[in-house]
Amino acid sequence: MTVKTFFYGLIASFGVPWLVMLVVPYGSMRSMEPVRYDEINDERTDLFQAKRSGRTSNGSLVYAQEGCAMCHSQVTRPSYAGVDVFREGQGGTKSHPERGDTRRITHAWDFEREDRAHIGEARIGPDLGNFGNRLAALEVSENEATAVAMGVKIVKEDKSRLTQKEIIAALGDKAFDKELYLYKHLYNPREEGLNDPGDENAWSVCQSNPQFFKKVGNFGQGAATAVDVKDGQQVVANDRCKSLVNYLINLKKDGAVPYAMQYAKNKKKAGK
Amino acid sequence: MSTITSPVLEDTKLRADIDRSLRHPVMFFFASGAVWLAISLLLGTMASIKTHAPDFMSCCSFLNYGRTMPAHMSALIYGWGAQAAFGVIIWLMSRLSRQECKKSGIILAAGHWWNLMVAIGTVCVLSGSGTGVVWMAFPQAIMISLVLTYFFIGIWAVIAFRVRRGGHIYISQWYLLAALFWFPWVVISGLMFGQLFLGDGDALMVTASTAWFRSALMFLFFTPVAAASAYYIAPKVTGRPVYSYHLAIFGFWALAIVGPWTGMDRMMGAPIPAFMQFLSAGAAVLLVVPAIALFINIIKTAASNKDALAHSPSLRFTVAGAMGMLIFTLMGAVMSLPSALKYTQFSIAQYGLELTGLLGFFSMCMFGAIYFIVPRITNREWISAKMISLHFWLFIYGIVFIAIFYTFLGGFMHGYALEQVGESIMASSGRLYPYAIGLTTGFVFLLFAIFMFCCHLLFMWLRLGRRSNHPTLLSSHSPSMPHGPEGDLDKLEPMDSNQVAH
Repeated sequence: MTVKTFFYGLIASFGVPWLVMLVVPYGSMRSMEPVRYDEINDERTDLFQAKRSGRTSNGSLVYAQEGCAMCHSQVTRPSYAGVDVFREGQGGTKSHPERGDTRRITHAWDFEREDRAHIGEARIGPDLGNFGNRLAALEVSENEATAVAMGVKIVKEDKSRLTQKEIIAALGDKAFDKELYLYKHLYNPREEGLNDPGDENAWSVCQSNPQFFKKVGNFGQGAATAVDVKDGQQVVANDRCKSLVNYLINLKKDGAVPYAMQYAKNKKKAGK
Repeated sequence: MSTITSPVLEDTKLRADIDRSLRHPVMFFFASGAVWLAISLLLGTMASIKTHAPDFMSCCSFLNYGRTMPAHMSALIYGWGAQAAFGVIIWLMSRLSRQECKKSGIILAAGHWWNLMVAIGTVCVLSGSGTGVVWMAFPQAIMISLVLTYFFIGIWAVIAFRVRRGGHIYISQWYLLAALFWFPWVVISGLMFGQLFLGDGDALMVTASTAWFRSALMFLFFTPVAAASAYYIAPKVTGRPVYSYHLAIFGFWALAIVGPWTGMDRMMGAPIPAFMQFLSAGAAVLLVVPAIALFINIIKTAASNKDALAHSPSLRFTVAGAMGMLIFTLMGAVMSLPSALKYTQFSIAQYGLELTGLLGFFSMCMFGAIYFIVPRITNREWISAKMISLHFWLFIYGIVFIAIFYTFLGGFMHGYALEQVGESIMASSGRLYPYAIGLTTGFVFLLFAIFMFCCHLLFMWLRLGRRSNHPTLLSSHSPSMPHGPEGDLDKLEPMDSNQVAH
């Protein structure tokens, strides 16, 4: 073997997989066409878009820098790769009050406008791909439980139920605050009574994050989102914490997909 | 004295000159690498403790699992792995090419710069300014600086090969040359697709490219350097040729052909083209082939001189490294089977496998090389056979414990719990508890071993080693000199006063 043939061999043996596994897929996925709903089957003609709001890009960066992906995944795999889709709350929920069965696997368009897909290293903690949805469900159940405890009638006289907005209005400052819940979780995940959404067991190895909080003077009524108050000082979330919380609240990957992309036997219309 | 002929003398002098020319950079790479290994293991221990005692030192946010874990891996890869590899590459390439290094000052300066970058990068990761990508956690600017620094180090090994003396090219040289060629291509690709194009590419392929990068760095840089070291140490210490040269060449090309296809199996089930996931899973199984070739060759060569195997620390570590390679690839093959991957993809098994490869295989081969090289470049012998022995057994115990108990048993148990739909995710964390404690226990053994190694190496760096013709062996009743004729070096002293002046 001469040095020349050696290098030809190296370039070929490395170059081909480099192109096939990296360069070509990178280029083709970078220019993916958006998926359009089908008028006949979906009764809508717009494009699929992952919905997000707020400071999710900043939050995603904080999520990466703090190593959240070491313990949390954000993917619901197809059934050939795992049972993720059957785990309640992970890929959606089996009985959404308005949309019915929303469970589905994660698809490429779920990561639209994100810099990095936090697929995750390990599942030491729960998958967070649909954490925002689980949190929203927790908000509903907590508000209803508080309303019952406070004697607020959830069912009206005409036998229709109060909407969430009406319940929140009735509860006032007793209503469940998603942001405050997350601040508390990030401050001390093992705080008593801090249940994980979609999980009945409160035990967690999640880390406390003092770096996300600052101490400020406790003046007047104090901050509504303070996680701790003592010695004339209150502990409030800093900017990084707020953007991370914003990102977590927006983690939703159960949007209705076009008819053609549904793998379930009982396909349904995406609807409006 | 009368038996030493002129060519033998010249040869011995040439080797001594090469050793002397590389003494400072190689010793610097090894010593600083060993310190980084200790730092990495400390960070790993802290990360491990955090998985079963999350409130341990919870007041210090820089010690959180999410920060210590990537800092631990980065220190392991760029602090220890890369530096140990650089030391072995430049020394081995110079020795095999029979060329002195004329630019050791540049290599040494580059080595200092490399260490500064790794230190800043580690501080950045611990302070929450890293990228969060495990094998590429340093900020972008640090990674670019590391790649540029690499060229100032690696280029001299390429030049040494280019101006080599003698016609024959050894298998170790092929491996080193390939590693020198693959490293920049792999790192620059990982950097480009995983970091530089961030925000301008596809989020999923950014993540996929970092998965590929990890695997490529392991199999196309750390593996060939370790194999080159093993193929040098085994015949050199035993005084016998490599068992089968054809098998060695076959193993090399098997690695070159299969290695670049691996890595994407970590993305199994993610919405990237499915062929990539399954191709990588298949490639991970095929990696057993080059591992078997290396294993057979090293074991057969080592077995040809059982005395050397019993007495030489270099050979013992190298043989353990060859076994580590086989175990590592076998475990990787089993874990990458699509039917098993559903359990292992998101379980602790993947981290355990990386530790098995980096510590049980690569580091073992590097220890073997360091125990061989350091006495030659310092002109001193290792101080204590007992410390070497303790290093070996404590390290073996720690890594075997991590490989079997944590990676295999813990990995599948964790994965099994994750695959139970009716079981809460917190219950799977509960199942993880004993294995997390097991990992901490394994790390404690590794820390003791590395403490021994670090102290020993730093003593050698300070030139406190034994001034003797006889190498430090694991048994004092050696009938022969397993380290070859190198001990005759002192006989040259009256002839060339320069040789004792350093």
